[in-house]
Amino acid sequence: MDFFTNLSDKIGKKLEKGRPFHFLYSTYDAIDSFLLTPKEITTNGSHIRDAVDMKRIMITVMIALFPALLFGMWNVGHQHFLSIGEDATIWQSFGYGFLKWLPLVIVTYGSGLLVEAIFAQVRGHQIAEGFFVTGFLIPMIMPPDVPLWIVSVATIFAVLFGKEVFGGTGYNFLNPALLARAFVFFAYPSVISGDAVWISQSADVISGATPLSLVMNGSTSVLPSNWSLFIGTIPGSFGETSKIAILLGAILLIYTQVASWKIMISVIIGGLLTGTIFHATGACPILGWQHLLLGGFLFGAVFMATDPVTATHTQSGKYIYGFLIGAIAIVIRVLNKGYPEGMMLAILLMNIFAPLIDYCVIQLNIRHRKKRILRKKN
Amino acid sequence: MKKYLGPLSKDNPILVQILGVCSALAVTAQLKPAVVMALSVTIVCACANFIISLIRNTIPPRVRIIVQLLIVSALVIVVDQVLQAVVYDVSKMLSVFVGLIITNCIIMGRLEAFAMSHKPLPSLIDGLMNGLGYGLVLVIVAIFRELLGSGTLWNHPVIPQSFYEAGYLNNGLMILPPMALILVGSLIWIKNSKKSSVK
Amino acid sequence: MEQPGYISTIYGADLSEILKNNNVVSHFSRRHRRHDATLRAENIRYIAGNVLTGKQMTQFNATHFYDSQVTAIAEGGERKIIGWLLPGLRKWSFSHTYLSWLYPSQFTNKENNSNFLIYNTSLNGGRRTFMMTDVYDKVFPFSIIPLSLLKACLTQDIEQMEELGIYEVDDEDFALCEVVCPSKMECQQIIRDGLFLLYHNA
Repeated sequence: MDFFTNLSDKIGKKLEKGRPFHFLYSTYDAIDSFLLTPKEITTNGSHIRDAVDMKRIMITVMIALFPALLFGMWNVGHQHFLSIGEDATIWQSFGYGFLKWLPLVIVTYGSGLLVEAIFAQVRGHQIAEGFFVTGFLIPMIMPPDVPLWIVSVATIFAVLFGKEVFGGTGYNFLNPALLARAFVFFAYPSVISGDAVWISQSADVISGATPLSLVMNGSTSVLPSNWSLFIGTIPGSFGETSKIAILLGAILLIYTQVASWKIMISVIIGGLLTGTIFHATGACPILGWQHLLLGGFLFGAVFMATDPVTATHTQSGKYIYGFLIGAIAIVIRVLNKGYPEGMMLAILLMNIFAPLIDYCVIQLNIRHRKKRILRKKN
Repeated sequence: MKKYLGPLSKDNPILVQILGVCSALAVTAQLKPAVVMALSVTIVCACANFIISLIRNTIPPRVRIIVQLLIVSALVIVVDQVLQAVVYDVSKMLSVFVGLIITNCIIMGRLEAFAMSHKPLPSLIDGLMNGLGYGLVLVIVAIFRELLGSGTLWNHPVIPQSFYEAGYLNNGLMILPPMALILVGSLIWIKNSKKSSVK
Repeated sequence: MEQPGYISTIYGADLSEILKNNNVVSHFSRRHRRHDATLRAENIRYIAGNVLTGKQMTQFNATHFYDSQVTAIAEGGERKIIGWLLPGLRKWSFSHTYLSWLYPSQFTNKENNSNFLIYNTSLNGGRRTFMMTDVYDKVFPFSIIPLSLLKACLTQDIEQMEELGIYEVDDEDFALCEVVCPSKMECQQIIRDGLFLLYHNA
C-alpha cells in the first residue's frame, strides 16, 4: 500500500511543471487516479464531501449494463447456432458471443481513448471518465458482425466531433455513443441495416430480419411471441434484445439515483401513447405496448436518453424531453419505413432540443419568480 | 502584394469571413463541379469588380446595389451560357447554384468593400484572389468528399479494387451535406488553431 | 472527541490546551496515522463552526467573535487501490452508489457522539465539469434552479443571476450542493464570487 503510494508520488514529482516530461502529466494523472483514490483534501468551503465521484457513477452505469451484455453475448451465439442449424450448449453460445464482443470493445476503447488522450495532452486537462461508458455502449448497439475498422472510424468520429470539438466530456450536447451509431447508419448503411446483419454469420437460407423490420414490412404474422420478445431470444445487437435484462439495469440505475426515472417513465409514456394512437387510426398493425418490446426502444429509454450531460438539466424539462423522445421514436418508426430504428434519431434530435427546453423552463421559473415578487409588494 | 494574397489564407472568404458557405456545401460532393463552380465564381468576381470599379464614380450611391446586381447578373448569364455550351453535364449538376452566384455574399461583399473605392486594376486582382480563395476551400473539401465518399477523383477510380475486396466501403455520409459542413468546420478549426490570437 | 461538551470562555481564548487533552477518537484517523503518518503532520482538522460552512482553524486555535462551535474531524487523503471499484461499505454517500446504504446505522451512531467517525476531509474524486445535473435539485430547498444560478455566476451574467434569484441566497445555502456534487464543484465559492461581483457592480 505504502509502496504504491510512494511510487506514485515519486513519479508525480518527476512530472511536475517545469520538468522535461511535464507533457505526460495528464496521462500520469489518469493512470494514478484510476489505480488509487485521489489524495486531494478539501481546502475551501464544505469540509466533508460525498464519497461518490464520476468514476463511481460511470462504473455504476457499467454494472447496470452487465445483465443486458451477458444476455446479449449468449443470444448472439444462440442466434448464430440457430441459423446454421446446430445444437449448442449455453456455454458454447456464450463463448461465441464473447469472442464476437471482445474485439469490438477493444477496438472501441483503443481508438476512443487515443483521441481522448491526445486532446487531454494538447489542452492540458485531465482525461475525463466519460468515455468509459461511451466505449462500453458502442459495441452494445452495433450489429455483431460489423467490421472492426468501421467501429474504429465511427468511434473516432463520435469522440472528435461529438465531444472534443465542444470542449470534452460535460460540454457535449450529443450522446457520443449514439452519434457513433448514427455515423455508421448513414455512412455505411450496408453493414447496419437490412435483414442479414443482425445474426452473426447466418446461413443464407434463413432470413435474419429483426422483429422490428418484420413489423415495418407488414409481416406481423411471423412475429415471435411477446414472451420471447420480452426475454430477448430474437436477432439483434448485443444490448437491445433482452427487455428483462434492461429492466434489471434500469432498477439499479434508478435506485442508485444515477439516471433519472423521470426521463425513463416519460419516454415510455410517450411511446405508449403515440403507439396506441397509431394503432387506433390503423396506421400501424401492432399494439402500442408492443412497440416497447421491439428494437432498441427500451435500451434507448434506459441507457441513452438518460445521459445526464445531453439530457435536459431542469427537472420539469425532463418530462417534456422524455415524452418527445418516445413520441418521435414511434412516429419515425411507423411513418418512415426507411428508418426502422427511430429511437436513435429521436434521441439525437431531442439532444439538440434539450437546451431549448431548458431555456423555456428557466424562463418560466424567472417569470414565476417575478410574479411572486409583485404579489408580495401589493 | 501581400494585401492581395490575403484572401488565399489570412482573409479567406469562407474560412475567416464565413461567406459563401451555402454554395460551398452544395457543390462539393465531387471534384469536377467544385472546380467549375470555383472558376465561375472567380471569373464573375474578377470581372464584376473590374467593371464596377471602372464606373464607380458615376454610380449614384442610392442605387448602387441595383447597379451591382445588374452587372453581376449579366456576367452570371454569360457564364451560365458558356457552361451549358462547354460542359453540359456539369452545368446540369450545378443546376441552380450557377444562378445563385448572383447572390453570393463574397461577390457582393467585394463589390461594396473594395471595388467601390479602388482603382480598376487592384479591383481586378482583388476579385481574382477572392475567387481563388473561395475555390481553394471548395477544391480541398471536394477532394476529401469525393475520395472518401465515392472512391474516385475527377470521376476516375482512385482507390484500388483490392481495397474493396479486403472489406473497405465508401463512406456514404461524405456524399451527404452534413459532412461538407463538418469538413468546412474542421478547416476553420485548423485555421483558427494556427492563428496565434483568436479574438 | 473523547469528551464533547460546552465550555464557557471569553472571546479570543486559546483553545489549544483544551483541544490537546481531548483526543479525537476515530478509527479512521488512527488507521490513517499508522499507515500514512508522513503524508500530513496534522491528522486532525479543527474547524471553527460546523463541517459544512466553518473555517479551518490555523495553528493559533483561538475563538473568534462569531464562533460558538468547534468541530474536529479526521484529515483525509488516504489512498486506496482502485477505491472507486470497491463496494465501499464504510463510505458515506448521498447517492446509493456505494453499498454503505446497507448499513445506515454507522452514520448515525449516537453512542459516544461518534457520528463523525466515518467522515473525513477527503475530496473523494477529481474535479470535473458539471455532469450529473440533477443532484443539486435533491438537496436544494428553494424554488430556484441551482445549476442555472451556478452557471450564471460562473459566466458572470449579472442580469441572469438577478432573475434567477441570487438576492435570495447566501453561499451557505449551497453547502449541501457542494457536499453531494460528484464533480466536486466549489459551489459556495462560486456563489460567493457571484455575490462579490454584484456588490462591486452595485
